[in-house]
Amino acid sequence: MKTKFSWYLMIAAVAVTAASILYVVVPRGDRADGWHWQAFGKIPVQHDGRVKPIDTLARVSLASMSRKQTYNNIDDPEEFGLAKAATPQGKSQPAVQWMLDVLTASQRPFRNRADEHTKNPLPEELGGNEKGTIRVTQKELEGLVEKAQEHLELARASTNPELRKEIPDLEKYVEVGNMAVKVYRFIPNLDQKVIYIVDEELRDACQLPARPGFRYSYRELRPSLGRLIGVAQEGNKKDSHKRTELEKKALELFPNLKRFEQLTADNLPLIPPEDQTKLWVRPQQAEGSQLPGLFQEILNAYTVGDKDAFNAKVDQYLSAIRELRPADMKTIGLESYLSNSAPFFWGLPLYVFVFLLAAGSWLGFAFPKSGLFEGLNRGAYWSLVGVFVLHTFGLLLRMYLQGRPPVTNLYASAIFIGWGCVGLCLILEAIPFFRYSIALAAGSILGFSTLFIAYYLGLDSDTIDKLQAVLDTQLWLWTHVTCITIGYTTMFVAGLLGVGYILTGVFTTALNREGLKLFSKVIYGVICFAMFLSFVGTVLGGIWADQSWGRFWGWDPKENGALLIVIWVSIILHARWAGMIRERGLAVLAVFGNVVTAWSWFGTNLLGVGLHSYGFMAGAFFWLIGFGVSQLLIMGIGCLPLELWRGLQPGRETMLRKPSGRGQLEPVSS
Amino acid sequence: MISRMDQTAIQSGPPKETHFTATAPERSATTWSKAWQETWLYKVLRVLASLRLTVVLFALSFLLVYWGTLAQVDFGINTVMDRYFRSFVVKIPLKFIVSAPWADEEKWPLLNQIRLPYPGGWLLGSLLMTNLFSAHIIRFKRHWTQAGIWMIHTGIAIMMIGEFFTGMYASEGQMSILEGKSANFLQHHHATEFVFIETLSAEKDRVIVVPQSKLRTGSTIQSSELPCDVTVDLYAVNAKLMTLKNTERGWATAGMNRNQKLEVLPEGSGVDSSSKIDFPAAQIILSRDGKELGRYLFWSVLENPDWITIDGKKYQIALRFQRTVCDYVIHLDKFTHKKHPHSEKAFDFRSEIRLEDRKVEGGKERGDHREAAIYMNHPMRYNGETFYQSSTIPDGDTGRSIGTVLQVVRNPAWTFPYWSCTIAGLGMLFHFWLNLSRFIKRSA
Repeated sequence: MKTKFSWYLMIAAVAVTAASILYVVVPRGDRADGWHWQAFGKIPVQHDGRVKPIDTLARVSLASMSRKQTYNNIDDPEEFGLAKAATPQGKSQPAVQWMLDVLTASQRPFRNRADEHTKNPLPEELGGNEKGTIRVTQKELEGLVEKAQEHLELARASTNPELRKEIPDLEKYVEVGNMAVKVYRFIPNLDQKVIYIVDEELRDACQLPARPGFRYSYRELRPSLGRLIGVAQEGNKKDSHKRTELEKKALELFPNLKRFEQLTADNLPLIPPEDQTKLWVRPQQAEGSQLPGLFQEILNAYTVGDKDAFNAKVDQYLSAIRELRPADMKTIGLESYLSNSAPFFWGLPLYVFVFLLAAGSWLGFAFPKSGLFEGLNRGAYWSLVGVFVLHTFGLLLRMYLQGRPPVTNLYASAIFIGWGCVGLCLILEAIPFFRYSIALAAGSILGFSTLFIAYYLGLDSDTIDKLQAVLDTQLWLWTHVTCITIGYTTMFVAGLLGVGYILTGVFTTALNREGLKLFSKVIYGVICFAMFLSFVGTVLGGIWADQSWGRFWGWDPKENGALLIVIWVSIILHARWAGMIRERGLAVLAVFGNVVTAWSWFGTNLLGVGLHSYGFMAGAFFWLIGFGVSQLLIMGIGCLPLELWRGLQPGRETMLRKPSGRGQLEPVSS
Repeated sequence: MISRMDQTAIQSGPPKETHFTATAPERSATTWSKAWQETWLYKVLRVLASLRLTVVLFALSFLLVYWGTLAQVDFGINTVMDRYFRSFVVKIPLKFIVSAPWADEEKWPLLNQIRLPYPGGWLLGSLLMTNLFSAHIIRFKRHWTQAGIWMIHTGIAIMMIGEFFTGMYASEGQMSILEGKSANFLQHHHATEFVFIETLSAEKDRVIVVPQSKLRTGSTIQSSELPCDVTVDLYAVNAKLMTLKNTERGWATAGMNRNQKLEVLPEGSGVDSSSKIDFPAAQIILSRDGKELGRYLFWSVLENPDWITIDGKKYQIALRFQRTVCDYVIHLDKFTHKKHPHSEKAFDFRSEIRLEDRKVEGGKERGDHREAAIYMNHPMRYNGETFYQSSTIPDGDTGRSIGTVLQVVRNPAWTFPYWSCTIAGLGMLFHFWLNLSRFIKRSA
């Protein structure tokens, strides 16, 4: 280290990072409102192929509908009978609490405009009034209708003319009541504004007003559902890429609505069977278990707003189930910890912090004697090491929970590519002559962008999901998928270094001819690795395909995507060996490698835009094009005549001297 | 590393000179090589071996693969494979070239109608091979430091030859078997045939086949082998039959499908995730001595054939997927289709089968018996053919799986990729290790 100032800078930077990481990994308690939300979140449920915490189910359900993992209470909770336990209007609440709102909807008296569903207003005895509004719970409503049914049968059987006079009234009462019961039994909560509809065309089709956040309630959507179903059916008849935008959007909406409708307490497979190999059952199917009763008591306590009873019952429930399924509960605890500590989410600001440190260190070039560069460079390096450790920790935890190699779905590939990029950049920054903070900047940018992509992919579905039968092989997931993903990693690192080369060379004088030459060598080395990994990964994929489908190569889009990377790297390497390109050309072509890799990673999925390229993928198209254009622009800048490159002006000394004895760089004091 | 690379890997000189001049002085050491370098063959090879040509061919291949991927938005994988990758010249619609695969025929007629000729996979492949061989004949040093490059290139060559043989000789078909039943023929979904079947005995049929290549809209097939003339009024690669409404009059005048009409569907595309197969249909006029016997509507989906009597002989007639009868019979003992708990996601497809080989060799049946479980990532190999778990036959009413569909592949070149990747992989490891160790030694 050059100066004391450098030391202070480095220690300050590392201290901030370390404190943030500690904040992330140390288990955080619940919000200070006294409710044990996290404990409730640990209640296990078997859903979509595996036993998971109810917290995960809540997050996935909420996120897939509203594109957020928390629920923002934009209405007055009292309207919906939520006064006791609810989060105040305008505040956000955790996904599990939203889930509780949904599960207890049928127990709360709610405002109900009956004439939305029936031509006639509800009779007054059922709670209807002149506005057609009732305030009863689902259970009460069912009770009332049942009682009316009994009266009706009595009246029909009777010969008493007084009683018989009531028959027409009672008939209407039962009919209207039954209809209302039916409507509400299958709709968990009509009034939560939770369905995210940002598309203007779809909103217009549903006659919904634009509002901040673009989230709408089921009730608002109901009047247009019939028309939407028509649109969706029309779209379903067509080839996926021939659908109109509205048809696509309508088709995307329905799985969400269906998921919402299925979220009722009666519907969740909460109860483990005694036989470990059997399916978990829904509460009303469980025989001789105390769990359904306990779960109901938890819901009751939430409905009436009894915090202490709620916490006590949750504890009781958890200890009961821990006795039944100790092994399941261990992984449930870990999964709940992973979602609550959210290392990948907190990685986002941390990567930004590292980038700022790295960028700040470049100011040190202007003040060579201050030690600013060394301090911030080292601070950024060790901070990035810290964030990398956090990233690794999350990755390993995910792998342990899933019992699988790192990459099993698109979400996991984003996490893993980010991890690989950061790791590789740390290695590159450790090369003595390449200690310019450039690899640190590249690493933090790649770490941030991949985690950002992962965040949006994570909103689509359960990220620790079960695999399709064809993917169910540890061998190929470990070899082919891991290899090809690290191949993507090296391509992105090479591409971003290419961007760095061009921007540094054209716009700054930080590196002169000599420095740029060394820079280019690093890019070349990374590209060689990319060649090796992409080639081996692609070939392994072919062998897997031969093993499972009987053909090594089928020219299908994903295979072609991988092949394009291999051909592109071959072009770069052979063009360089042929003398067709040199340092600058290498950088420019490496930047295009970004486009090829992004296309291979996402673009091939987009070709089949349709049902499963839902949500993020439709938006991804726009981002992918934008990314491609930005890279082409940078390539254009890279193609500017060399006379315009500030870094290549003759007579410039390098900013940085060759490595000294301990491999440290010293800015030249000119 | 740059200069080192130039000396060791591929002999390319300083950028301003042409790359092969650098090797010339070394080679001219003997009179033999001097004489060789003056032959016309050497001069031709020198052009063919150019590293710049390699780069150009790579660039052309890159675009071909890219456009061949986009084309799968419109066409089925087999069509794309035949047109783009297993052809010498391909005509590529402008819309793929400008990366707008979704451009509609109606809105953008020019993008769809203008097609530019472009070298196809086989042309580019053979040029690349020529380039590679020429380069190794005249340009590469035979020295141990070059072993990596030699191995990589040998591996690539084997892979390309393997893909060529696969394209030429591999065949695949599907065998559908219901649980508890047997099957002894393959169906090939990429081709149909029109057949007359004459039942000779309980065990023997005589099958007269009109292959798909003859079934072109407007063509008439006449042959002494056929019991009558076959005129193809319309052949659709993908279609469905619809029941006629009360007022409508059908095209067909005979056969079971008289009350149906044919609706042409677009060809299934390669990127469509449902991976549906195309079901061809045809409107066929049968006639004899200029006299019309009947107008028939055929659909490849329908199992039940029509019947026709000609000259007192009774024939079944049908349009069906091309079939190959096998020497063996496969009996499906049990089929399992397991799903993940509380999920629609498949966890396991498994066919437990018995195979009986009935091929007659030297007057008696070969009589091989074997039992096997075929499941995902676990095929069975038998006598040059490989059997893969492909899909299931769902029951029409309940949706429960009641049978299996096995993919049966015969590919004489299936080992090529294994050799190829072993050799090329080792070559890469060796080469990069060599260069990395030099690089590190130099940096140290």
